[in-house]
Amino acid sequence: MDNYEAIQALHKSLPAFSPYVSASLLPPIALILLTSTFALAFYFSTLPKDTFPLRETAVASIASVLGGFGVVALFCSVGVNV
Amino acid sequence: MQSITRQLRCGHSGIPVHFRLAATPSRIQHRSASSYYNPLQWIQEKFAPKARKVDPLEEKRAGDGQEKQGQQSVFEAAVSQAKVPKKASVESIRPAVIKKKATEHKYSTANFKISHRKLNMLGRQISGKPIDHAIVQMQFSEKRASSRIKSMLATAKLHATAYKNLDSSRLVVAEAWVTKGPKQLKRLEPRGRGKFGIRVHPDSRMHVVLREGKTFEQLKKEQRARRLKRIVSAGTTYAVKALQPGQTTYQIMLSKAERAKTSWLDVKVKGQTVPLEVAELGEDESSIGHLLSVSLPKELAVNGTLNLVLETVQTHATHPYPERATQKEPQLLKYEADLFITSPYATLVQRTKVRSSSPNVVSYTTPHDVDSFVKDGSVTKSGATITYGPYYNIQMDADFIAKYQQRISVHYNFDHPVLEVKTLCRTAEISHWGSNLNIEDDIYLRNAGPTLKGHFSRLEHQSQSYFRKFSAHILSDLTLHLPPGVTNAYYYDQNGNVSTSHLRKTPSVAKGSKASQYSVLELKPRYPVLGGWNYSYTIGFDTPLEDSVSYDANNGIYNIGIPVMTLIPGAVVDDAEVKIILPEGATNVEFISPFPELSSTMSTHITYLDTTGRPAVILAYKDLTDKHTGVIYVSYQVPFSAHLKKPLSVSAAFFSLFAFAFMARRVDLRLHKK
Repeated sequence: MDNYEAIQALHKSLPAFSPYVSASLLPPIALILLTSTFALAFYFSTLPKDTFPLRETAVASIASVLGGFGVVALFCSVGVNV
Repeated sequence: MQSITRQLRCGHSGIPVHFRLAATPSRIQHRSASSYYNPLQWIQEKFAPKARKVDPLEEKRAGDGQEKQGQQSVFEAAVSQAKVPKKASVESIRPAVIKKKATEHKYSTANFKISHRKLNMLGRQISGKPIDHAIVQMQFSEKRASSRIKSMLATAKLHATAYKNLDSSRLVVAEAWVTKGPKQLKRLEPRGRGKFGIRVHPDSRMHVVLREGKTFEQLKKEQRARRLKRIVSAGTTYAVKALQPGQTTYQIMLSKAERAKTSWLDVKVKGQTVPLEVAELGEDESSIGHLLSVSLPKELAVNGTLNLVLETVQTHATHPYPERATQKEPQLLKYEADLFITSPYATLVQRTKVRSSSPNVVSYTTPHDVDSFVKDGSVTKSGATITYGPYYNIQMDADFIAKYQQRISVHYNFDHPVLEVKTLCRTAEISHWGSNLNIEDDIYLRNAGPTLKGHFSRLEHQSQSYFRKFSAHILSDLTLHLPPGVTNAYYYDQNGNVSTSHLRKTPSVAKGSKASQYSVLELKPRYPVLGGWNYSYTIGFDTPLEDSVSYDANNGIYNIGIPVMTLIPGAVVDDAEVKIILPEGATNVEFISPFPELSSTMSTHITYLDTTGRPAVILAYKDLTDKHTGVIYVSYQVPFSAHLKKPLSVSAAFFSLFAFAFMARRVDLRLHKK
């Protein structure tokens, strides 16, 4: 039981958890990221077909990264805390 | 000043006078007529001689000795006048009149056109309620008089706070009654055949008395305390005397049946709060009972004495007898125990006191064959306590048990539902992205009282509720204490969402600080749970993660404290399973339970947006009571890269879509190429 008391005291004394992104900021962040993903996806669809698809991969990767974070933020803001 | 108060009284015809009252604070101040509209008056008031300001206390003090002085002789008067006046200190000034603080405030509407019976319906509705609840009920009531009553209550509350200095947060409508108007207004109403009837236009008014009372939270707290007292607990006090030197342990014996029923025990020195270490020794040689070894705090010398208190909580120790009862019959339970307390040592005196929750004891067994140990009666009853003993000179061994040990049983009336939670499955999910802790309980509840005999009559149940004579063994609602700061609470069962519940939220408190108030959830099962009936439901809620998790920045370790269960007062949990789902990619998981668990395992749980799954800690428990409301501590580490797993997996999915689009643009699916 000493161990338990020690852990209890430790838990009480340590600083509280602070998230990387505050929970109240998540809905606006979700909105911004997802709209930018949508815009970039639209832009991707208008790009010309090149032999070396540098531009396309760049746009696609940026859009997917933004989309990934946007979807996680969206899930958290609607209550499905992933 | 006089005129202003008179004006206010006239204003009380049921029309709110808020605007006037708002202008006057607690003391009614006299507003002088002088202002910049009337400069001459102002000059007059400033420079004209004013009446002397009289301090009533000083005047009284000055005049105090005068009557006595007038009756004294010259010599006495000279002596008394030479007295040096005392310096006025705060303690010596006592007000001439000590004002009593008002305890209640009476108020009423004026007489208005309504039947006394119709008005009394509202009176019965608001009677006994806290003032704010009563006002809200009147605001949303469909009755004609409700708006008048609402404004009357609002004014009464304001007056009670402003004039009588009552605490507005504790005001309760203690009494509400209706009186008819001074004279009935009668009118003739023509009926058929040339006859006339008398139509009465009734008028009546409602009076209320506001007093400071208990809030809903306080009432629930008291109810909870009453319910917690009802648990079967055994406290045995051993007054120990050492006959030989060097005693460092004391052995307590419990019979096998008793040990099986005991789900929690604790040994302390009488008067102290620190529990002593107890070790289980198993069955003794003659297999009379189960031995526990208690380490004494200090070595006990010869003829040294000590008082030890063994406190236990027993589960499934009572059973309903008769086993079946109709809806209206009372609930009778039977508790059985051994007459003599088992102990490996010789006992000089022993007493067993059985205290039931109410003095309504149907019967209790009278022990037989105990004359050799008894001086006075073998059993006595006083109120709710039945005392078996005192018994002298008991030496517990196998022969004694065979000859004298017997079962005693107490058959008593129990006025509250006996609840048993057959299974409790608690899932705690930690989300670092959403900084949220979600706790969900799957509860399978059973009413362990007497099984219902005959049919359930809904009519009977509703009439009981109307006349407030609730049957003892029907569970109609539960009150649970959730942690402060809960959001998104949900309560559903197999059929769907259950809307008969009320949550009173309290704001979140920081981690580690003691919560002064809990969020109170009043649950009402979909149907009243009668004896022998089951009800299974799921409740869940979210709490901010900052309240439960601490972070050790040096080692990168997160610690979380999760309560084992949300206590249902007076209920026993047969089987409990707590599953703690940690974030994806958590490593170095360690956990500690407040009391020994049956088993603990680690598994993987897969949910939304997971790739490799989340580690989950599963702890199983048995026979939990109100003494088992501890906190499980889990520590884990989550590297930053593990946090990024989720968004990157979704990004990979998006990228695959883009790759597909890339391919699709370059594929020509036309049938005819030109």
